[in-house]
Amino acid sequence: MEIIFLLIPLSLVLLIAAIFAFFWATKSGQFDDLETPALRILDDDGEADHH
Amino acid sequence: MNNLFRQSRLAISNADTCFHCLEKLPKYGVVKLQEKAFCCHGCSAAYEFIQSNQLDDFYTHRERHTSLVAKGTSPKTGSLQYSNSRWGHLDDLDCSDVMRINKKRVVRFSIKGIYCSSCTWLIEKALNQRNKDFTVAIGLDNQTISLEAFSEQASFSQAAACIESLGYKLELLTADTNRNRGDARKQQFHRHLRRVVVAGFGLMQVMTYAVSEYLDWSSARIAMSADIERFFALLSMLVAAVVVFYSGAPYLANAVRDIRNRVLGIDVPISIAIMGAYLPSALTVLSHGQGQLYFDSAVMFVFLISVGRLIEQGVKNKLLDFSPSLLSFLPDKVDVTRRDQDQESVLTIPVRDIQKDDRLIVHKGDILPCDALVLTGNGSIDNSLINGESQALLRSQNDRLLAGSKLLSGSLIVVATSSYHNSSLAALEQAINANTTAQLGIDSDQQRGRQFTKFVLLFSLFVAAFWFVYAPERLFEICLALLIAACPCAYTLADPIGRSRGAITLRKIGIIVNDTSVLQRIQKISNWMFDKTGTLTQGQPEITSIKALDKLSEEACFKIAATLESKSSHVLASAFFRPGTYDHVVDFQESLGAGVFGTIGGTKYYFGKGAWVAKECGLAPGASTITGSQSEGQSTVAVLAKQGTALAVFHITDDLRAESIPVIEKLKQDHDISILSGDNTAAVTAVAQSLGIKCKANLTAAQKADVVASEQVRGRIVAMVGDGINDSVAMTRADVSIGVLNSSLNFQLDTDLTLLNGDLRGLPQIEQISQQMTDINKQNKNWALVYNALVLPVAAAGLLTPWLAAIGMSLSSLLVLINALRIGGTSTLPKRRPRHKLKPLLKWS
Repeated sequence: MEIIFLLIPLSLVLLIAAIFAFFWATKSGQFDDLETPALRILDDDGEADHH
Repeated sequence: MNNLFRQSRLAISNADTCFHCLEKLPKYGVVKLQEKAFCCHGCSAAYEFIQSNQLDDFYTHRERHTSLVAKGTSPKTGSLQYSNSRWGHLDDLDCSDVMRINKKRVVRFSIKGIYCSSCTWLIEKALNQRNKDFTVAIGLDNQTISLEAFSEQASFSQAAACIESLGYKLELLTADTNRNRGDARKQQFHRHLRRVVVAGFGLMQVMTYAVSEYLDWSSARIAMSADIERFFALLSMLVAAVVVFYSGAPYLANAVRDIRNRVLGIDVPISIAIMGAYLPSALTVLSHGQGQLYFDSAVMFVFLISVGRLIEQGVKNKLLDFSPSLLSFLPDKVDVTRRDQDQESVLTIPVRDIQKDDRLIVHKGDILPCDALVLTGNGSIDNSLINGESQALLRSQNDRLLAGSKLLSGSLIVVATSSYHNSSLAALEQAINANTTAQLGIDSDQQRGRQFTKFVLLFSLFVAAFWFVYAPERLFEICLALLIAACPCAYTLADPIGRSRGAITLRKIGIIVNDTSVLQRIQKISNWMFDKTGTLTQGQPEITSIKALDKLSEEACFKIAATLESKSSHVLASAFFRPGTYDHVVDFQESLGAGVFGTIGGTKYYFGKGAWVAKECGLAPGASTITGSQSEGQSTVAVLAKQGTALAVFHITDDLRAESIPVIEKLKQDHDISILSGDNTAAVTAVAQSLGIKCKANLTAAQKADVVASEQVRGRIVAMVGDGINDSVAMTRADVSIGVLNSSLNFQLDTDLTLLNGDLRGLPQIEQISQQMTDINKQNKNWALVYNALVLPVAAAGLLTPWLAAIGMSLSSLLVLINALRIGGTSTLPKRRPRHKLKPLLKWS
């Protein structure tokens, strides 16, 4: 059972990483427009270098 | 895949609507291009532009409501050239309107007319095709666009002109523009979202650790060592601390503020419960004590509350940011001639820097930013922004003009008689703001919530005293359960959730709710007051029929009449306005109050009142079709003729909206309806009689407000429906203000509700939804009170554990939420016009 002392803090580290990833996502505007990106895939003109 | 889109497009644009803006086509003067019909040259130009850039997918991507405002406004027809003049100053590298962010040049605009993602798609595409110099970020929710330049050569003016040529209206956002509020709101939303996610992750962890607490180890096969138990307890404490003090921070802060101000907000018991669960548990862990730990309760509590508030916040964010200031449709910069110590200089200054005695040149279409006196020139003035006067006024030397006047034709040189800040327009805006703040008050429901909170806290104290005497060891557990169980969360949730739901339902049928608190008031309305021009009537004179009397076709007659009227200042002339080029007219003259005449292509034409035209052209006076009644009801007759021959008879009306009659008919059944208009008595009475309602004419903006107030004194609840600035004082005074957004006006009023598509049929629906919402809210609140009343004695008797109480609390809130979803349900909601349907696979809305 002693492995728990390692694994659980490890899971916490992962958790913190996930939270920071989420913070980054909100900051860089990933949640600002939830509609347009879903439509972009439907463009047929195949412009590759669309930002 | 594209074919599918094309099919769906066919479903939304049909024969009698403009291909570009989907508005109803005018009866005459339809612009045809590539077998498609457009309502005006602006729209056809926008279409041409879109097509020449291979962007026609726009027409397949858009949804039905795209048409609302994104109407072509491009002033030029045929070839599209960018006019750089308006935004030219943005290309100066040291222009103060260009922000520097990370050394990159950034310009932000507020953009009008974007309603769905296909608009953002179109703008991004158009900009990227022109030049790839910009990163474009469009905020659908707060209607802003920001352009970030990659290089120093990037031309903001071209980009702005490009967007405007698509038919969207731009307005520069500088650092001090209050539109930046949108940014603050967005950041607030981000913070909120983060809090919820942290609480959610934390909840998962703490719940897992708590298993060690709940399991009965005596019957488990493996024994939990004391070390592991303590390890879990410490970890729980740590994670819960993050959740409580990060995610729960706003509630704790609010509670502290409320206590300081000696008010009992809902956050007070919430904070007591959070801290009551967390602090003693932390103490137990730190002091190696024995006892139940409530970290999971604390974290669950924070999580549930944050989620509830986030939902509310999200809806608010989406719905609130829709009230630009009244001054926002003035130009940004003007050219003035200023005399300074005997030296005259021409300056380009922001409108707010206009001073008294500056001289301005006012061109056709300009809106005057200050009160002024005409020095030279003459022109016709539209005052409808200020006082709703629909009749155009001729103004020449030494006449006074009010700020907000719009020059319909001609050009004037004027001298400012007020600075921008002392103008009548600024005063009107101040009046509106003053009225708005005066209306703020404490909601009666909020008050009841506070009383309930007070009662709960007192009751807990009493219960605590009881248990302190009889079983002090159970005191803490029971008080905690009691506080959580009695927390009137469901009760306080009922109203905001119901309102948000009502607002969303209304948004779907094209009604924007700017202030959700009015939704409850709507069903109490006893008096509806309507503005006339533009609200009950269409606000645009329209040609209802053309009867050709000679060989010339109706279309040809229209063209001649339109050409003559393009030079006229008469208010009815706007019925003939189509942006575009006209034939050349020589010897044009206007005979005031009678008609116009001029020579086109060698023939002299007369157009105006029947009697006058008959006399000028020597027509047989007996022709009753021509000289017949000048106006029948609201319809005005005008005759086009050349020497000796009558060519056509035109009927022009400012019609009642088609839906006015049924809507008024419906509202009349159990309300007092009246018209408040600034228009002349004859026109107003005619409309009032045809609707069978009362009316008051010749009112100024302030008088309208007085009429509203006089009804309110009698205890009536008044709703004011209007479309112009002239109604806004009355609107802010009214209990419920409803703005009708005409497609012709590209700004929105600061009203409680806005009818986006200018369709009055929304009014009975608003009432219905308000009624439904009030019913369901009442139901929800009753249920919440019953739940709290039932659970309170159970908790007080010590039969409820804290975690059970927390689950009960969230379940009762959940029930309220689910019940609120019924608002706008199909059973009672009036049927909407069918929207085009896509295959489910391609569902994107």
